[in-house]
Amino acid sequence: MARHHNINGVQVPFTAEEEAQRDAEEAAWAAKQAAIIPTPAHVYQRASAYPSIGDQLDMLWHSIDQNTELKSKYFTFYEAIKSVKVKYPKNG
Amino acid sequence: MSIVKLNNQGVKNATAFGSISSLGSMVFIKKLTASSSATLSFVDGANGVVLDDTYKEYLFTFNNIHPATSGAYLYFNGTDDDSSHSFDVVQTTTHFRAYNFEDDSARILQYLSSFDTAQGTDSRISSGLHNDNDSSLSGYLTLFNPSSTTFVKHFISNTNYEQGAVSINSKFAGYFNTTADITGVQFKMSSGNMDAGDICLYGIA
Repeated sequence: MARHHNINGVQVPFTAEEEAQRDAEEAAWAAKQAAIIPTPAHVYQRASAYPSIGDQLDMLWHSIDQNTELKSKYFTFYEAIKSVKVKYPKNG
Repeated sequence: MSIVKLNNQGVKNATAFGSISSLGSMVFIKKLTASSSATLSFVDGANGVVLDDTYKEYLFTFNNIHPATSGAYLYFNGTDDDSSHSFDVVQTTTHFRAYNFEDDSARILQYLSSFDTAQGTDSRISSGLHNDNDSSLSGYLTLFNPSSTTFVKHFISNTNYEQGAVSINSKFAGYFNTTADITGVQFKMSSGNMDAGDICLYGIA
């Protein structure tokens, strides 16, 4: 079926040149779409369900805080976070 | 200084109101209805369409735009030609979106670089629309001062659409990178026709 423009409410048929150009645009679009790998739903579902990055790091810090060996192993990370907690104590 | 309070009784008993001048207005200009249309275009100077320095701001409203082809984007273009109206004015745009699944299983705020345009045409107002019978896009786009011959022409769009059990809100904005006056704008799908829906044009005075 021939395409048409709606210009200011007036229906204007495509010229042969416009038809050919639009055919090429649509073919290019279809090829591009075919190459897209859809993101699986679980990626979005997991991203929405994970704790915030800050909360994850806090959990990690508390795990390290429970283990002397890990405190030594991750000393820089552990001390950097701890110094902030000391500077701004709970109920401080 | 005394404070005058307005209450229901006061409004009920009022018989006349003073006049307020210079409020401005939103003037309806044109409604285009899609019917298996490849493009919907508003071009200044014909069939009652005004898109010149009459108004400093123009509002386009999208009402239930429904594509023929699933996955097609809604595109936006402009022309600065007075006669040939090739819709090829270069734009630079940004586009980000928020969405939420109907089953509440995920919600995302997302900037996709593939959705923006750097000195190109055919800018995306939306991501892919679905062509399910109940799927559509609604929203609006504002074009500022299209007749300026000093500045680039800014536009801002906010639309919402249903994409396969997902509600998506797209924020799209940018400018026509030209100091020539914009004499028309065109809306089309990236592929296929606009089966249904309408776009209205208003001038903001």
